[in-house]
Amino acid sequence: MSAAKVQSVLRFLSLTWLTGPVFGKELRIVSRQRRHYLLRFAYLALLTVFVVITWVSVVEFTEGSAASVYKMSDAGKTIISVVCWFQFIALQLVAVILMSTSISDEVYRGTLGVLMTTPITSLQIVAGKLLSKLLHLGGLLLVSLPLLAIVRVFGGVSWSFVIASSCITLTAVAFAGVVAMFFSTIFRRAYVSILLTLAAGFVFHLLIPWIFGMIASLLSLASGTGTFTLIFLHVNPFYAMGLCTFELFKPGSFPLPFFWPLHCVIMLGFTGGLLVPCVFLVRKAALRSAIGATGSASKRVVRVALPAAVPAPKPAAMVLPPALATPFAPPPIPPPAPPARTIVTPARPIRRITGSPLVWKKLRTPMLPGKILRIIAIVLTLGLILMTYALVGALDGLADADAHASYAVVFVLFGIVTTAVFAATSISSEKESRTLPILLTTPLGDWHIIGASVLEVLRRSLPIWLFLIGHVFIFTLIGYLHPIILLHIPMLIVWVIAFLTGTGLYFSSRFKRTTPAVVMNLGLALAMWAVLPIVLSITTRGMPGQSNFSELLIDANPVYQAGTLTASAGKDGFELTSDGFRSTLEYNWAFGTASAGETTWLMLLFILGYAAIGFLFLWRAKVKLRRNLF
Amino acid sequence: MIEITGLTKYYGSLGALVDLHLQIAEGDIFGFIGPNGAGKTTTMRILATLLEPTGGLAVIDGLDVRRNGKGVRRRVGYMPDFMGVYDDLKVFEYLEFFAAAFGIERRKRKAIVEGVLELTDLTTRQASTVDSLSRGMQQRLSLARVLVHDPKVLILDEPASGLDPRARIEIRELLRELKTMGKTIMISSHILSELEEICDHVGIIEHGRLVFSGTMEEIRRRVGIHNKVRVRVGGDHDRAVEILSALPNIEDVTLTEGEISVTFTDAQGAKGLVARTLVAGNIDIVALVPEQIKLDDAFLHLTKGIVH
Repeated sequence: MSAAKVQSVLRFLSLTWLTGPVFGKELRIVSRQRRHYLLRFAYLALLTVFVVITWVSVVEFTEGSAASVYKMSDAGKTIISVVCWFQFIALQLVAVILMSTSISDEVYRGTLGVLMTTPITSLQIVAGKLLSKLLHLGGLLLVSLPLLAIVRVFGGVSWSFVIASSCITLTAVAFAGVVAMFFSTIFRRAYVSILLTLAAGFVFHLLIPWIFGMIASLLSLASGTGTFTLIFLHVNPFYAMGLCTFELFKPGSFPLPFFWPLHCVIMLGFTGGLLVPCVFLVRKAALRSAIGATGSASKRVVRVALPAAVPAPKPAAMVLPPALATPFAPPPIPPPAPPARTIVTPARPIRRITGSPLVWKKLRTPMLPGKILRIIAIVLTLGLILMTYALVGALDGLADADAHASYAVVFVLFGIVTTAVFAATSISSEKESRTLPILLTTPLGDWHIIGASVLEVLRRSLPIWLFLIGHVFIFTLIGYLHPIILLHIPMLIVWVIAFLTGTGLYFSSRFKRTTPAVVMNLGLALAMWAVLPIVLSITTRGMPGQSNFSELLIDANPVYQAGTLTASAGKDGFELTSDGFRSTLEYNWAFGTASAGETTWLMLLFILGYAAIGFLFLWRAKVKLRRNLF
Repeated sequence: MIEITGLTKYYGSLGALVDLHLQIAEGDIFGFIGPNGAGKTTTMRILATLLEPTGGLAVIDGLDVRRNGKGVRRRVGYMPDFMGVYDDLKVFEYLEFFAAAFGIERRKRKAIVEGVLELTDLTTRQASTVDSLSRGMQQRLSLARVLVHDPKVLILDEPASGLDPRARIEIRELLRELKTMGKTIMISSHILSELEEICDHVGIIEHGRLVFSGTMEEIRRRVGIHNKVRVRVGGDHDRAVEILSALPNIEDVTLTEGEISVTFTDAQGAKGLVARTLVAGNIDIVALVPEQIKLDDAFLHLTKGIVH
């Protein structure tokens, strides 16, 4: 084989024909950014915490040697499965965050149009960005391999599980990344891409399989259930990962055939399939960027070519402010030959401002950009929710308190994510659009700006919380839930909003870009309500007084609260008689059982505590408002 | 109107401004010149209350920018070197938003916004969204924005950057118009020849320090180019050089491509002396012009090109 042929084969294998110079550029950028090192550090720290927690919770060192050896083998399985699941979920989240800015950042910096003027193709841009991020994430995955190898020494864990779970994780990460990239080509704001990717993940990975499962149960399709399961095993990474873990603990006990390489190939097919629209949308985004239209694709601009001689109309008389009333002498230059003019027709009439201009502006910030997108989102969400009600109702599940608790948990999770995101983007998006410095040169006070941002968060997140309020309201009217829930759930919503708005505005004020602000706010919620209670409950095991503290932390979790409040207000706890309610409501909190009255006081305490913390963060947001502007 | 005394701004150990002293009189157009990273934008941001100085004093219309931020903001219209865009607002809404932010009553706002739209020739685009405007129009909109609250002082950071020649001329005419309205204008630009045409005073800043501040005439004196006279004569050039070289206070006489350049050590009456001497020597004068200083030349003379 000649040297030229060898070189062309090597070039083909190096994938430079696919990624072009974009791949190398992205890798260089990653290696120079401090935030990526912080991300790696945080990832490894969290992974270590999870391993330590699992280790402490499954290994008892006080037993005899034979029992210890048996326990070690069990511990090995548990630790490896925890590590693999941690990687599976954490890496997908990281991929979503990294890819949510992949194209929108290029548009923001005005470099996408420049890239398009070079021989680099759209495919190379898309593939280069995706593969470079995947390489970065693959590195994170590799980091845990030594740990997994060590744990394998305990026995009981096969390499096939490690390899299968790693491959499933990588393909799931690639898919999550390409979905985020897809939204990034359409929307300028990273948080919109993050939210839509998470929503799409929820719908495709959890809701649709659940709906199909319910339909199969409803129709009593025993064979059908098996077929559905088999299909979802091969197209749904959560199912696939779940089955691999199941097989780890009970090998050979699953009746259906599952071939994980096929699952990975299918997921790669999905990823490749979604790359195609990305390639086309990148070119569109570049063209939009090149002509200066930086908004989302949904913006309606109608262009009309007019004859060259049409003069621009001038108003007959203008009223100037007193000091500007001097007639303006037009510049002494000849008018240019007017080209074919472009008129941008207004999609809506001019609105007049009433009251505080900032509040006026903030209250008109839509939840999602683009009217069409908003309509699609509302119709889809309502349609899916109604479908779940219909299915649960058909299976007589609506009388079950646990079903309402599940709904409450899902709605609260959505509320937390949206409130955290909207709060974290309120001020940082003003920085990104460079309007904050201009705003700060007006006499509007800092507290005024913070207050308007609080109102904006309320206005944008309330529709999501209305799902939860609507749920408990309707099912209280029907008689499935005790009316006390109508007091408790709004109390829960109040403190969650107060806390997350405070922390979100602080991070929004602290960071220049929306993405780190969003990540920090969501990370804080995750750390406070998930990581910290788990870590403390295990690491302080046996210490005097630790029990009360870790129980308090668990009770302070809004998701846990939503589940407890709704499950306890279910039909088992009360009876509707002709004399009114005969209630035996009991709330099973982590610290013990409480009555409805005690629970109300507890919720009041949570409101006071979290609102105080939220206000503290608001004050810090106000302090930071005029710093870190440029 | 603007008084800066010992103004200092440090970013860590980097001195962006070092003991800056500057005075701008009411109704002046003050050109602020300097290489990239010299400290122009930092000075303007401090005056616009967007940055806290590390030390020194900046006073606008008698108000300390550090202590009376709110009062200063009411008196100042600041146009940054970037366009902040609310992409879902229309031009009219954008201006009314800022009019309301400056506390102008609702019933007066419409007339004021229409006024500044007319002044900046944007009336026909009042229903367009802000981000659909061209660069030149966005600059004019920015200028319209800083005018809505009728400020006494305008601080304009490179208002003509990136504009085509026509838009630059329009902006220049608009600034002249604003000067006639009694506004004090501080303007920075890299297009020095434009500042030369509209500025009463200029300040040249480099490495965070003011290297010069004064009128154009003072610049000429400082740079020394005004001591030069260029002469074109008919006939014997060498004899003309010989006669002129014999004059008192002469530093240098050179002949280049038929043009004689005479440099005096003292400029007093130089032009008349040259004319009289040549006529007395029976040499025909075709042209006699004093050397004109360009702001670009002064800039090059006074700065060393040191950039942070």
